[in-house]
Amino acid sequence: MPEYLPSGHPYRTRRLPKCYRDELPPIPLPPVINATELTPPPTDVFTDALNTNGLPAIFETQPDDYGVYRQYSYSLPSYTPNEYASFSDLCNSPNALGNESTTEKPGWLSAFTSSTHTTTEKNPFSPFLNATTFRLMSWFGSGSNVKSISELDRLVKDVILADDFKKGDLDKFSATREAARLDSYQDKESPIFSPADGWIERSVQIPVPAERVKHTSEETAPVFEVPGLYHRSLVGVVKSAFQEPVAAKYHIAPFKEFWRPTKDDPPERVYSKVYSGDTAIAEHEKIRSQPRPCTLETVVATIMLWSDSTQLANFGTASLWPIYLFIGNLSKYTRCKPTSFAAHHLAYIPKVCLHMMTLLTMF
Amino acid sequence: MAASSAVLTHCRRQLMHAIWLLLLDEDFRNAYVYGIVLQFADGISRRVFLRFLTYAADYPEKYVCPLFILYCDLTDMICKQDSHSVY
Repeated sequence: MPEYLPSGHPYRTRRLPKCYRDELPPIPLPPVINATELTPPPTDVFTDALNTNGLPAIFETQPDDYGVYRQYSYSLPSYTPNEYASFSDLCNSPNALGNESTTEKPGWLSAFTSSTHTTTEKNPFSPFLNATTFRLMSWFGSGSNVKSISELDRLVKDVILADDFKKGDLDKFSATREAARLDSYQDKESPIFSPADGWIERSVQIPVPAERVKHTSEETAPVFEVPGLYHRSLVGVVKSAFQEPVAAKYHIAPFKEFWRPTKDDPPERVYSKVYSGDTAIAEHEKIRSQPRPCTLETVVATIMLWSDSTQLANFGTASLWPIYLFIGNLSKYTRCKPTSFAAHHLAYIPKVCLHMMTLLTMF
Repeated sequence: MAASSAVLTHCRRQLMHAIWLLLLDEDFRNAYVYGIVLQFADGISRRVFLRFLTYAADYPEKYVCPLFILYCDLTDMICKQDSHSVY
């Protein structure tokens, strides 16, 4: 390209307007302890570090590019996760530049399963018989909801062109039958709530009132058994959560976070994470300061619980009522990404209304 | 004879209490007081204490969750524990 136009004018430099420019901020570097602030030197991170005034020693990290730094009291954690190793750890955009997240992603079923248990080898297309019918039914169950069984039948002709399409598998194809197969699917060998993943099915007994009957105490009241509760051991779920790949990003010690735009400004406290809040710091300190013969470093696993009745369909009344938990030691930016699969399902509460209605008419 | 809404509410509350008392089992109580030793991503074992920080639930039968009742029990347990016990 010539440097000048035929007219003698130089070429104009074209630039995207500022509002369209996506200037990505630098990836925050993992915090580095500010060596000058150490009082006294951290010979043993587990022992109490007190400065000359008898006050807890303060350890500060170097501020990052935004002027945000962390402050740990008493001791430094022996492990600090590197949460922002790549852009995909910071955002969830399909257009994001580049590299994969640094932690391996578990499958969507991981919320139900235990990482300590590996499923046995079985038909990967279950409950369908083969790749051909799986392809068809998977298409039917996804995307637009205006498909019909006859449309699916029509698709057979289009799908035939797929590379792995086997015509022979469709000899006796019937969408109705395949749909019915999915509806009545009950895999006895590996159900969703698999005992191998720690799921226990049991019934719960509750005392109920009976109309026009007086009981002397709650013990003498009739007991109603509510069947169909699925649950897992709380300790088991937390253990399994700590064995997942994402556990590498768990913070083991809470800290205070401060923001100082420039060196002359006073630092401003940043409240944004479970582990940078006063509650977590107080609980951590309470547990850490308890005398115990065990010399292992103590960690507080902050459990955040939810239980909401969840609608499963846009039309109809299908719903579930799960109790699930998240581990607060994980950054909310990772935790809240659906693709991080950070939720752990603890229990599924049975629907009680109908059972109860029939019961109460019995007395 | 259909159950009144007050009775149903009572039953749902009873159910939630029963489920939580089931979930907060002996294992959990021990883990709460003594912690559990887990291996972390860096291969180092640490003693992990389970603590509930938040509980968000959306249903009309509002009540004092058994978690708080249990917390009082556990606080007692921590106060009464023998300081020489091995953990």
